[in-house]
Amino acid sequence: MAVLFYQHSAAFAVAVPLAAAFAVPLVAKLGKAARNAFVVLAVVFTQIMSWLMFQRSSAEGGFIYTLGASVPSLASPAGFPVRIVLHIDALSAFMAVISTTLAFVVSVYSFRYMKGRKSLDKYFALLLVMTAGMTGLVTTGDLFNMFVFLELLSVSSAGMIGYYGKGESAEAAFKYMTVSSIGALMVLFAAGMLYSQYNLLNIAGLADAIQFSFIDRIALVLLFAAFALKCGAVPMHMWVSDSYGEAPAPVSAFLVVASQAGLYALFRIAFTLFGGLSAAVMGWGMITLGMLSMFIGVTMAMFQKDIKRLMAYHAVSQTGYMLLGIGVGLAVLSSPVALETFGISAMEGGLFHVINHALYKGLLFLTAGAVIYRAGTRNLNNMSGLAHSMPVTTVLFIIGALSIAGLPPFNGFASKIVIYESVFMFNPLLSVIAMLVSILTLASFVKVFYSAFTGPADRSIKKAGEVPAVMWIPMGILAVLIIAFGLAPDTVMNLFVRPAVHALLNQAGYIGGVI
Amino acid sequence: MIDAQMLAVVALVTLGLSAVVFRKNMIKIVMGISVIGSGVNLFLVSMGYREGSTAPIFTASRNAWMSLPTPQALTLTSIVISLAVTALMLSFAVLFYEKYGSIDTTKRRLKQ
Amino acid sequence: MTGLLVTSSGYWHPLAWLAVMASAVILALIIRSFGNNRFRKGTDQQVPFYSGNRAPEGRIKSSNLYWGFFTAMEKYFRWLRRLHTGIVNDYVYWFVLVMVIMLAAVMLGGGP
Repeated sequence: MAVLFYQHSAAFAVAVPLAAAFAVPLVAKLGKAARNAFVVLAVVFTQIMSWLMFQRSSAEGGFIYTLGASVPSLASPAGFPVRIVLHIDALSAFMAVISTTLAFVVSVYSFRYMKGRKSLDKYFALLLVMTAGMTGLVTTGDLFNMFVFLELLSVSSAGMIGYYGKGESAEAAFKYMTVSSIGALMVLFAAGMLYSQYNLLNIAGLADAIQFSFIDRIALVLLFAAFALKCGAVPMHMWVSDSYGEAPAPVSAFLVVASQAGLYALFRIAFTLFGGLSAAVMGWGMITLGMLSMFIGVTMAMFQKDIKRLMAYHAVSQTGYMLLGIGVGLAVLSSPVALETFGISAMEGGLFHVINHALYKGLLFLTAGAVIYRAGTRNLNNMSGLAHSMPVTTVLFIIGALSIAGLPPFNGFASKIVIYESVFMFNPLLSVIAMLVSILTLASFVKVFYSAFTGPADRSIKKAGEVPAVMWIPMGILAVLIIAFGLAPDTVMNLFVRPAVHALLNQAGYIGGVI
Repeated sequence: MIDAQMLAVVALVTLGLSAVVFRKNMIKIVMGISVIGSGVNLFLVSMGYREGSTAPIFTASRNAWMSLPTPQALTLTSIVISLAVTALMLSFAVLFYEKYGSIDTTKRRLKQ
Repeated sequence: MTGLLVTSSGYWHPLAWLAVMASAVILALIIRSFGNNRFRKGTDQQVPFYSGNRAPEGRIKSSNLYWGFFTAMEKYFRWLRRLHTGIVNDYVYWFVLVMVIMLAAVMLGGGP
């Protein structure tokens, strides 16, 4: 049994949440408790599968799973990769573990937060479809399937953003769907361009065959822009604030990892598919987008009145750090000395920031949800003194806020210092701006803390009290992980991040896995 | 490479993008996205076409010169997806209209 | 040694940092214990010092925080607000613009 799961972990990680999603409305006929148990079971199973993928990829240095083949580890009998392949290396497994962890936390949190709302069966079904979209997007080894999973993720996310129905949430969902369907069509267009030249859709096969022709460059730009759009880089970030702000709070937390799946695709395209193709230009493009994201994101966040919109702009700003770290690695990809001295280190910082961002941003969105749950408003001007009645949420919020602002000893600092110090060797100015952005981040979270948690307690809020344990325990899990990652950054780095960075740089290994 | 289909593809994608960028009517934006989708689908189908080929049904046309089946499979998938996207976006437009009384994108409430 | 994170031009050791911080706190507490205890509840000692005047009631609204910062950088923030129109057409316009700029950069500057 265990061997079966181990061997087919990749297929299970995609198929189980997808199948479970459509079974949710059926199971819900047995009652709400059965439905909730079923959702948790499906998510936990998916998470175990991602851990198995992680274990297997670190044991074998990456592996492929050919769907529908009698021998799944064989891409094709003729050595020509035409079948649908899931290709898992350390980076894919890393992303899958992050998204399923957040899926678990978010689904447990949702049980209470969304209680009493209508059509919850569909809510949980969409949550599972989103999980499947993410695990699919990060494990697929096929450019067309990347498009399919991207659309799966977009459509289910749009349904979740528009969950509250009329008005602003429909507006946000419409905007989200417009930009992401155009982005996805550009991905399909680029896949077509590559297919028309090489008769291949497999990423590894394409990376092997690619000639860097004129059309390849167009395809590179289309893919790059589309995935930069999906991860919410400035100036294509405006959908982020709308959709994160209007979605239910747990969904906002989950959308953070959905954006990070887009980030994964961006890195995969830039490093693996187009290994050397104009790496300097693409790297500088990524750095520019990252710097713009950091600065414009944080300054937009500073004057927001809506707590979730403020946090959404911070998500944009933090994505900038990841783009900066990985962009520096991409910019110096062609010079081995620079790559060895600071490039790899910058990429480690960037990828470490991905997992840290998922944790603290998830925590912050969930605390924002707890605040909205009790205070009944999203406007920071109308909140006051929640710390009197919600001590646990306050402590959790402080942990998240200090972590996002990059204060030691929390995990945000650990990844930010790696980015600062390695980017400093590349270009000191970039590093200085990154630090400035960190200070502005702290300033705007001080504002949230001041207006929501301090001050005299509102009488109606005081009566409400702390959020129930089912809501703060998921937040607590994230907070514990934040502190643990902050206190033992080297363990996380060696266990997760370093293999992922090496997988990203090891284009030959990725190609060799298939051909 | 430059022939009638490719020109049509470029024209459709450009038309669709310009509709999405310049038209303020939500329905027209959805139409624009559909047009981009059609352009991309045309591109996929036309690149699988081989001059003088038959349908890629192996048992029916053994040893014949067949057009490529993969792009057609891709197109089919993409058409299904674009149908779902169109339906979803139109339903969001309906919800938008019910609350705001307009399908003008400049009548938005979420900004900054 | 556990906890040591080597960056390219330095290192970060959270446990060492915690030890330093803990010793700083202990030092601060020791210095504090030398002070005298003249605090009395219910006297004017509890009233906030507001230049000798009576402190006003109520609190500052969160949107008035950092007023000086926003005023000093008013031009930048006005530009920023004008950029974030919230109209979906502009979102796509930015996407197209980024594509065009990247395409120009790759065509002009991107060697193989």
